[in-house]
Amino acid sequence: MHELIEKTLKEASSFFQNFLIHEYSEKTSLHLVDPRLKLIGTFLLIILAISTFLVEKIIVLIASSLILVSFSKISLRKFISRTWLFPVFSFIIMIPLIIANLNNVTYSIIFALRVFTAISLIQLFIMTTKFNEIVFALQYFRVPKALTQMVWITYRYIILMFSEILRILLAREARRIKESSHIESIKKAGNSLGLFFIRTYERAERINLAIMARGEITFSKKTFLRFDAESNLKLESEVVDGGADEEADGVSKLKSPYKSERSKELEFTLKKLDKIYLIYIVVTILIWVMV
Amino acid sequence: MKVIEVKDVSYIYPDGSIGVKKASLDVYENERLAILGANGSGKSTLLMIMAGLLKPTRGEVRIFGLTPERKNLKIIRKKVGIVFQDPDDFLFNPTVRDELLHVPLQLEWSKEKIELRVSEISKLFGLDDILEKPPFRISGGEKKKVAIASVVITNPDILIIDEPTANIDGKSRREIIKIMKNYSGTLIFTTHELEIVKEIASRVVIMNLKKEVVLTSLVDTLREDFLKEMGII
Ligand SMILES: Nc1ncnc2c1ncn2[C@@H]1O[C@H](COP(=O)(O)OP(=O)(O)O)[C@@H](O)[C@H]1O
Ligand SMILES: [Mg+2]
Repeated sequence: MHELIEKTLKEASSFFQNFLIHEYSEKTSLHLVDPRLKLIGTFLLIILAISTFLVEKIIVLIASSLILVSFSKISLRKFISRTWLFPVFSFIIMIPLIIANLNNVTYSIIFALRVFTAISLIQLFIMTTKFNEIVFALQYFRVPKALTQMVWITYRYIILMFSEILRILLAREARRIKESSHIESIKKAGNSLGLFFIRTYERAERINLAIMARGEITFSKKTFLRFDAESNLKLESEVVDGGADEEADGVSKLKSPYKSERSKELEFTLKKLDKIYLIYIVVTILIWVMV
Repeated sequence: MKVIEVKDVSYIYPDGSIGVKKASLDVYENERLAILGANGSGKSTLLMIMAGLLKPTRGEVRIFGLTPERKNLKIIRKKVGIVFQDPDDFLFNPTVRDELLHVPLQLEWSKEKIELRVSEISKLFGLDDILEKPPFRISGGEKKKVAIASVVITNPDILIIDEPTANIDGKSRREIIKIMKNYSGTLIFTTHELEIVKEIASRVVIMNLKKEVVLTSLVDTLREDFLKEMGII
């Protein structure tokens, strides 16, 4: 039994880690849509998902998110592997209800579908938006700093937490030679849990020191700037005038005409993607309303 | 010129363990200082104090003549770069590229300068292939390189590196050594490896298990049997 629990815990840890952490090396077109738009879009669709019990409406949303997945060339397998556990889990917790009354079956299925929809939307957002961009978008919409900081810290902390769990479990497994009795393993689990809390706490403290060492005395907007190779123009348009700090190297001046042309080009494609995304959201909402 | 002065500094951790005991030493501009000592002799703690991150429980530390008070921290952080012993404690951004951008963005460098510098550093450290990866999904050697790169990128006047080559071998190790050798500012590092001391350092400081600084000497006059006695090699 305890082995099963341990195995489940390990799998759940890597599952959640995968849910939150992504390789941003493979960029899809959805990556390039403005994070603020994606934030609003995701938010709206989630509201729609949780405000209905009509199967048709929920299916519209699921279909629409799957269409988005395939259009932006995200691997469907990856996507499903990161979301399936949530609806299954929410169905399982409904089982007692079903046993009590068989009529609850449809309700439970719809409930699980709703969870699946919301989770898929969130996953799609996280998969294609870096966490610092998310925080940036939240800050843009004047979400109170205390809250955005909390999101940021929670994100860091969760990653930490799961990697600690995995590390401890693996370390234990690596040195497990003989099977232990249940009582023994419960005792050991208690020890591990204690160790886990101490380790995560201390690591969080050290990371805090690192944040300080690297200049962040308080969270500044600058830290969350959107900045990637394809969309540098964001830096230009949203953030303080980059031209204000005169660089002594002179190289920047020489390059600038070429630069601005390139930015314009980028701006166009970006705007195009943004528009397509907007249309997608509006169409989804319309269909949702009509069915 | 003295860039860091440590006078009779003791540090006691909140749980009561002694981190450093009555340490005194000066660091001079552009020197290459190695701190040697057995595990647990207080090297990492001393580095944190010299970077102005931990405030001494007793004694005084001055970094470019400044005490590590809140009002001086901004200047100190700009001038002193520190790389922690464990890169997992040090890297917290979503991708390696974001790690490199972390300090330059705060310094409000121009876009061109940032791009130029990121590509320079990424080439120098051989990070081109992992720029978009999350830092917790790369190898130990790569993590250490990313941590060092994210500090070196702004060329701090003082570069402090805790155990630059511990548990790292092969290519990454050679690259790290080369980068340290070529660094033009003041360099302070800890290590267990005599080779690296001989190759890079100009002066050494030795700490014992009582967390005291027991000796500072030039590398040339360092006696190997003494280091063995101290449990360092
Ligand atoms: N966060 C901490 N809390 C309590 N004690 C600590 C902490 N970090 C280090 N110490 C203690 O301080 C002493 C010096 O540690 P450290 O500076 O890490 O040594 P070194 O880097 O030379 O191995 C050790 O005895 C260690 O147990
Ligand atoms: Mg140490």
